[in-house]
Amino acid sequence: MVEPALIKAAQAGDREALVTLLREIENQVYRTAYYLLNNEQDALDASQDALIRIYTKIGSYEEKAQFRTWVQRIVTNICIDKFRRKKPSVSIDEHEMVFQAGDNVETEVLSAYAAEEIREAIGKLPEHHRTVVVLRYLQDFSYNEIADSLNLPLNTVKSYLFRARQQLQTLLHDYQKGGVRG
Amino acid sequence: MKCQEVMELMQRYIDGDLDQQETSLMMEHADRCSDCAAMLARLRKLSSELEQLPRVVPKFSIVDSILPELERLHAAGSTAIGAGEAAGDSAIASPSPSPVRSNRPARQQLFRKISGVVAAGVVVGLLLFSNPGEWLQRGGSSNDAAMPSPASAPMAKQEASLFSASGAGEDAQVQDQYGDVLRNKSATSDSGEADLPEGSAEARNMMPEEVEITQNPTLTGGGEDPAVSGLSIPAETADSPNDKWRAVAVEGNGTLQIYGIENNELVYDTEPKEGRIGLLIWSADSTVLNFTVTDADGNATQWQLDMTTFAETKR
Repeated sequence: MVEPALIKAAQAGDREALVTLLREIENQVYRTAYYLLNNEQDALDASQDALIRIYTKIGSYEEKAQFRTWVQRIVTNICIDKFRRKKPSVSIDEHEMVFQAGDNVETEVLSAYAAEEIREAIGKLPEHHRTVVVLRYLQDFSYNEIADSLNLPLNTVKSYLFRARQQLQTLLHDYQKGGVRG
Repeated sequence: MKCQEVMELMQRYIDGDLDQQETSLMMEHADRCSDCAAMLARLRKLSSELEQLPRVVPKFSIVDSILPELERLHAAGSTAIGAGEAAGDSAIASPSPSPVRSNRPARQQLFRKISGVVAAGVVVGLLLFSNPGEWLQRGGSSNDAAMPSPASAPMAKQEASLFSASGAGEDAQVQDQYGDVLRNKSATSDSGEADLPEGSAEARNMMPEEVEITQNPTLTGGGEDPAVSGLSIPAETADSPNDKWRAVAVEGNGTLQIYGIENNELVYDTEPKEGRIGLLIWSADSTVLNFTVTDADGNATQWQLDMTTFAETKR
């Protein structure tokens, strides 16, 4: 956790404190970007953008919000912008995603999904579902913290998270079954 | 208990969100229903695998990689601060202190740090006010550009006499008036509404320049333009028959929002739809909301939102 005193110093214009603060959050920023964008280079670019934005906007952070949810809001916004520009129309049709997963079947029998497959499956989720899953599992955020980060109502967060898990489960389940059949 | 309801319980169970009673309710069902039991096992497995995803770290220090850029931003920021301070100091040294500066110095400084552009704007503003001669010249030309009417010439003359009057020793009065104008200026850019003080002929004379000066911040500020905010005015609403919920199709971002009528609280915000949402129809028991999404090509898709599970499905 970032020390409140460090945040205060950074906000007061202590540049060294601000750089120290950025170093403390660098890994958590990168982790979100990496799992949202599913690509190392894009994740590095997005993390740079996010840290620069945090550097310039630190004054606008208000203590009533948690610092880490504020940071995650900045990085998720940048990533969502990035993948919207990359893929202008993201399909949110669940059936199509299942179908795509069926196409990618490999012949190996898999007893447990490798991290790689889970990451790919996360990459197939619609952007909001993906973001909610990443905040829940890679940042260990609660429903409320996710709602704060994404500025979404609590019910929406739950609904996205539940559906995301259902979709992931279907994607990975089919993947596994496909492997057995193949 | 229906399997769909149990699904929600299982999902919340995964997140540790169930109380004891709900847990036993779920377990009882899973004992009898093999489908749900299998689903629960799969969800638990998935969740634990998600928890074990590698905590990846960047292969080099990202902060180190952006240090030159931060240095550049810092330099740009401090130059702007230096210039701003200089202009601010001259404004203070002159008999006309800037109320914007004295009201919120911390925030003002912050602004300069945040953006050289904003800082430059402030500097220009301060310079304009601390150098009335130049300001007048500019004001005259922007007057011509802004309102090419015969009125601009006499108006400029009026201003000229106003300033010569200030030179003749009515400093205090003019300062106040500057103060008014300046304060008013910040109010104008904050709220996006032009509300100038009534009964001050001088202030009204300055209106064209006011508009000229405040236009840029307003434009870059974004979202304050009534024409822009007008776009997000809801296109269609429908209240549920039990008067509990109000569905609002939000034009622009293509989502459908559900509000509680009693407290006006946002209950649910659908995923963005590729098209325009319309034809909002509630079921008689208020549990399902039907709506239609019409895309740019005019193809309509029927959707329904289940109000108990907030599941959005195509019909």
